[in-house]
Amino acid sequence: MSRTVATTPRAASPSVGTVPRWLPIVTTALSVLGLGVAAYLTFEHYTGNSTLSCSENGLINCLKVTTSPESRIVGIPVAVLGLAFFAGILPLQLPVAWRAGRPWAQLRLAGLVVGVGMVAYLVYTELVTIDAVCLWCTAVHVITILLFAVTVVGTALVGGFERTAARR
Amino acid sequence: MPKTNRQVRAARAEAARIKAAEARAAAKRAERRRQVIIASISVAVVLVVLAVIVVIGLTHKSKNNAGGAALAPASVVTGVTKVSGSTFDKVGAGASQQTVPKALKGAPPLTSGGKPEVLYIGAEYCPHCAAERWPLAVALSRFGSFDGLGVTKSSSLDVPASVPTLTFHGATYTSKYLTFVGKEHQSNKVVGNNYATLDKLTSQEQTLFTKYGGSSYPFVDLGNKWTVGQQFDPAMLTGKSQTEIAQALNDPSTPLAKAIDGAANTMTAAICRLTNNQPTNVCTSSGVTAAAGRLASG
Repeated sequence: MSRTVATTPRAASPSVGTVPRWLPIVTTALSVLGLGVAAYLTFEHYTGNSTLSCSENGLINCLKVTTSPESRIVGIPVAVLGLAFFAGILPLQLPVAWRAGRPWAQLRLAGLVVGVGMVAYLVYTELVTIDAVCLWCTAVHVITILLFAVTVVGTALVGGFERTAARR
Repeated sequence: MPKTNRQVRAARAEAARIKAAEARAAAKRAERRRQVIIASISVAVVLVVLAVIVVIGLTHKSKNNAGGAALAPASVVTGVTKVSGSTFDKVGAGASQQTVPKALKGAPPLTSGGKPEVLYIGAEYCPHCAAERWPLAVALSRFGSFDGLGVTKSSSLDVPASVPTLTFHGATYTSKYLTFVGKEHQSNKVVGNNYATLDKLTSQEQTLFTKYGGSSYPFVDLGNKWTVGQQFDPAMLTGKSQTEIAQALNDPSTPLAKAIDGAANTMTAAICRLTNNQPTNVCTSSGVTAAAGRLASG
């Protein structure tokens, strides 16, 4: 039987229902994991990828991906964008943020929609344009997708979408 | 004792309140179930879209040909990567006028993934690079395998013009003995006033290119122990097709085999020093041993 954390009765803003205890734990853990991998890729980017640990075996070639022209978007390294994404999403996945009102839930979902869109673009770029796959980048993509899935279903579980539905 | 009318009315009102609350709770549960189903479907749709992208990417046949190169035909790949041991041995050190790798003194070993690294930096427009790719690809094929080698020609505006060659752009190399990084820094297509940039260099590659290669194409860094540029005259290749060149590599009597296989033997001897003479059958072959005699100690 899962334990739940009751929302604070004093919450003045539109709040969500009871939050299963596992939900913020899972999403926070995924965010920390994503932040760690993104930090590693950022470190490698700024140290010339000299210690990037990844095999070069046919399609798998991290260096080819991380040093490609596509590794920057409008001049900003993709690794830095990933780091910024997880640094921004982590506070929104903490238990306190899950217990907070609807604006935080909406911000969390909006951030993850952007993140998944970015993943789709980067996967396409790796496979079609660069013709190589970076395993570390793939790890970040998988974490982002898992985070999106858990957050969307979790938001529905705690009734985070209900007010929007009631207006229709 | 019989209930008064007031008590009956209160009990009925209470029952109605409970029923209404239960109905609201049931409606809320139903609504939440509906939201969970919608959310799950949304996640499934996203996963399907991503799966479609992955399938499109994996079935994408054409290689990344920003430089306009085509994939090397099988005959060329076989000719370059399957030069026989007897051909190498007969050619030995090859033509006497060919340039040998220059030893680097005191440079830190160049490694990647725990293995010695061979770094090539060139440009598809450059005729000297066009010549050097042949022996480099031949030598490296003795330690591992290429995938996605392309064919192209050097620029028609350079001298000698339109030298037939391979390209490392878009190719991958796998070896248990060493790592090969092949960068075609510029293509053979003019964009504006210069040739288009193709493969970006890392800061470390740029440093090596500047420090040990004088920022001049081609630059081949053999584990920071030796460097070499062009080893034979690219004019030897003009007017021939890649297939003709690849075929000539397996005939030790041809000038091209002497030039290309001989240069490959010299580079192989240098690489063997990096790999602790592995694989043994390659590093102890008579052709490599003969070429090692021309190699300065590094």
